[in-house]
Amino acid sequence: MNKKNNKNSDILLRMENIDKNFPGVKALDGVLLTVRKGTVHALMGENGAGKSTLMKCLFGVYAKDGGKIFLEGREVSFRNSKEALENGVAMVHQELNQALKRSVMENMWLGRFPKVARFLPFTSEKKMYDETKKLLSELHINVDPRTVMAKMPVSQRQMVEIAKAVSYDSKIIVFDEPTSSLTETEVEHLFRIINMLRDRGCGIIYISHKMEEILRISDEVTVMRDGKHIATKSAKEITMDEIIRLMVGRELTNRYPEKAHEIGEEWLKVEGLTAEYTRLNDVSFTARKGEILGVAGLDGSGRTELLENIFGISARRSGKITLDGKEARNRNARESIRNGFALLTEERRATGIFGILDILENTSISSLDRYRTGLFLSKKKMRESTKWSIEAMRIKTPNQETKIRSLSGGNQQKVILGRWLLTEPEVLLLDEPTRGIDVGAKYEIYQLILDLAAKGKTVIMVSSEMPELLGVCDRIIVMSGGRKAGEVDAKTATQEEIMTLAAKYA
Amino acid sequence: MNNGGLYKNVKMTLATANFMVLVAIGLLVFCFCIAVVSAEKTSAEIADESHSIADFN
Amino acid sequence: MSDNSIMPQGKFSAFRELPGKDRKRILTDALFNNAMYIIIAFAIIFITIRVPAFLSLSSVVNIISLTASKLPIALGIAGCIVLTGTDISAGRAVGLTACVSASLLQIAGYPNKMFPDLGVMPLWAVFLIVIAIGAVVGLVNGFFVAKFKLHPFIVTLSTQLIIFGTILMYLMIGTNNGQTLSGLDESYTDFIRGTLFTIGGVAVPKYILYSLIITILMWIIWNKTKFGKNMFAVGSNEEAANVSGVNVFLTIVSVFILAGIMYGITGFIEGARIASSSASTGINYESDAIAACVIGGVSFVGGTGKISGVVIGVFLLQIIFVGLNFLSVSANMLYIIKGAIILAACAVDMRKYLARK
Repeated sequence: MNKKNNKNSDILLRMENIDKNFPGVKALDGVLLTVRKGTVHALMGENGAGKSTLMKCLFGVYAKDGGKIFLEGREVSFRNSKEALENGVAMVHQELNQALKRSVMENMWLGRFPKVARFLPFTSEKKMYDETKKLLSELHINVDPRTVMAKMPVSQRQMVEIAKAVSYDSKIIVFDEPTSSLTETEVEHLFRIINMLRDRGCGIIYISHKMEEILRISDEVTVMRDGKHIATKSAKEITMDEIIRLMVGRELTNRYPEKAHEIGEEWLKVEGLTAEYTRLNDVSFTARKGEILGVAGLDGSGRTELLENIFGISARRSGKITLDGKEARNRNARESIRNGFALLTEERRATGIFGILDILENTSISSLDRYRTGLFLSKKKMRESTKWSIEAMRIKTPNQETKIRSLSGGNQQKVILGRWLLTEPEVLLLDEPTRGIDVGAKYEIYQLILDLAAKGKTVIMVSSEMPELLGVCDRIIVMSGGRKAGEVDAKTATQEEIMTLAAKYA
Repeated sequence: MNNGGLYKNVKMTLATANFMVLVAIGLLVFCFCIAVVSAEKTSAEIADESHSIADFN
Repeated sequence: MSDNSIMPQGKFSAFRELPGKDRKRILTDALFNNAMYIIIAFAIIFITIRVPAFLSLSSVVNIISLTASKLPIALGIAGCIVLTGTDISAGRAVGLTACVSASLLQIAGYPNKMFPDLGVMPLWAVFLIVIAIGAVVGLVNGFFVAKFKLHPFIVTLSTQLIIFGTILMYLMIGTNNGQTLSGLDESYTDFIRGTLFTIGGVAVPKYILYSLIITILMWIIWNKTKFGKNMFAVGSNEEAANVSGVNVFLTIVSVFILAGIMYGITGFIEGARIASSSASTGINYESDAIAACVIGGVSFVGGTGKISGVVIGVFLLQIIFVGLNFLSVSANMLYIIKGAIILAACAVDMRKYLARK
């Protein structure tokens, strides 16, 4: 590769000295990003580091206050994402903006439906189908273009989103947390697609918190912190520790905190849990006081279903739950809470937060009975409890009246966790507690989980990140095809062991 | 996904939304003006009528 | 990735420091979000210039009285809107309860009395009866919405018709034969329309006080009770509310029952205020109420709204209607304006929501 000779013609995208100001905060300060043809460039940084702001400036969602952007040597300044798309810059979003009730092909061609003939305003369904099918097969995505989006799992929808971005013949494609909802096999598929795009000469910007993936797939890595460009290095020359150090600005000796809690007696017993409408079938396990039990498995193996069933928000056909020797029927959420259970759901935006309400309301909603004085609620008591939650969870927020949707993902998650702790639960069911959260906040949440265990709570944690399970949990049960495939000790188990079990009934 | 009750599945740019508000407000102002003008006409007509009736007497 | 929505919490000096583009954004946002208030303000100024009597004491008292009479129904419907629903059976419910109230409180010897052998019932008894009727309407609405997950629009559309039929049948009872109900006993009319006090020679009717009490009660319910907090949670995110331990079914049903009770109270007041209740009483009342709620910031987005907003919304709407009357605008034209107002208010509401995203 004569990269050195053709250095300048090699550069696909160059963002130079980008500044962006918001009232009171300099979100971007002289940021530099160069993406070469046929490379994958990883963009890393904690939440608030400025990654998404930088991308929004590229796409024209924000107007930059300083600096220049060059696309293939030509200076550009897009006024909106449509203009960006038309000029060959596409983005696969983390939160999918899809028309769920419509089919795959309609979503693909939204806004540019292929016409029957050039001058006729009628959409050609056949053309739409053929084009879509062609695109999907090129990328080895096995989906029928007529399938309604809502009927597909999130991972497949994400594949469609990727295909859509590719269909615009984009030269620059930005992937924002693309693997957060994908299984290991799907991640491989995604990487194959990215490699294909790379060979075609596209420039890929890959934003993710998953270190292992970044080092595997990228050619270059740029780290940002506090709105500034910190470093750009070749992926071959940089290590995970160094990335973390650059991101966080200090040594993070351990990704996972020290485990110092003691494990007590058997506390929770689940026997023969079978769901009415999902695959969950005859799952049994026990958990001890002060134990952190992980739940591993592939997407669709029944992990979320297991938690939802224990908590009672999913119809149960048979099974028995016993806590501290007493049966807990958990027929609905309210009863489960009374019995000492708590559930942190998988998708906080969809089923966790009350977006339009503030932190005070989001925190106190599950424990309202405790704030009664006479007939009415005491605002004073609610504020006190919220204050406790904010301090205990180390939530970063100017005040209690801030709307929760303006907080970062990590802080939102902490608010929900604080909400649950105010109900004084004994068993905490956590479904992907650190999904979409940056390294620094992840560490804080691990610390909180360990503190809970140290206080004698039982934590059951579902996660798709095996290193996380192995690093935080004491024991891990592995789900497969709706059944319990096995159990391993987190101290001695390997990722391969867990993967093998996960594939048992798949 | 975002929760928006009735507007949950609405995809619209801010520009379009602004335009929508302008059109709606414009319609309202238009109707108001018509209302005022037609009201004046009516009172003018009534004034006219009472004039002509007065003539008869 | 988190969103970086960093907007100032509204300090003037901070505003001055902002770069041009953001300043412009804040101004345009303020302009669009308050478009309704601005338009109405202009209208009021215009009308006052044309017809100064518009802001005379008696006119103002009239406007406040009208506001008071239309407030309870708006407060009831507001709850349904917070739940991202609606209730178009409200008007007919008011009509039914107004007719029932009137029919039970006619003068003892009235020639066209519906229940000739009935003396004059005690007011509190009639009040309880119509509240119960309203509650039953709310129960039916709420049950079908909460248990069977039918959309509130369809459910209340159906109950609206059922109630209408009920009114028609009710008015045929006894010796009434479909007539308008009038000839009300003085105890009733005095209780509702009697003078509370006079100010500058203008009489202020008693029902303004009742309306005030209801408003304060609703404020307490919305802001100081567990039920109120639950209502906002369910309206904001029903699934999250369920997981968080809120009894979603009970909350939804209760909101509709509370609304029904509000309709009953409105009917009880209207029965005496209009003093001639018929099958057409209450028709389209809900459109005024819903418009008032939307103008006042109770968004169809759900989970948001303030009692003060509802009061302001009802008040502003009444000012417009009375004002248009002062301008001798024909009654037919009023409908057109009403419709345009609702459209504009909803457009502003939706824009507010989209601007946040």
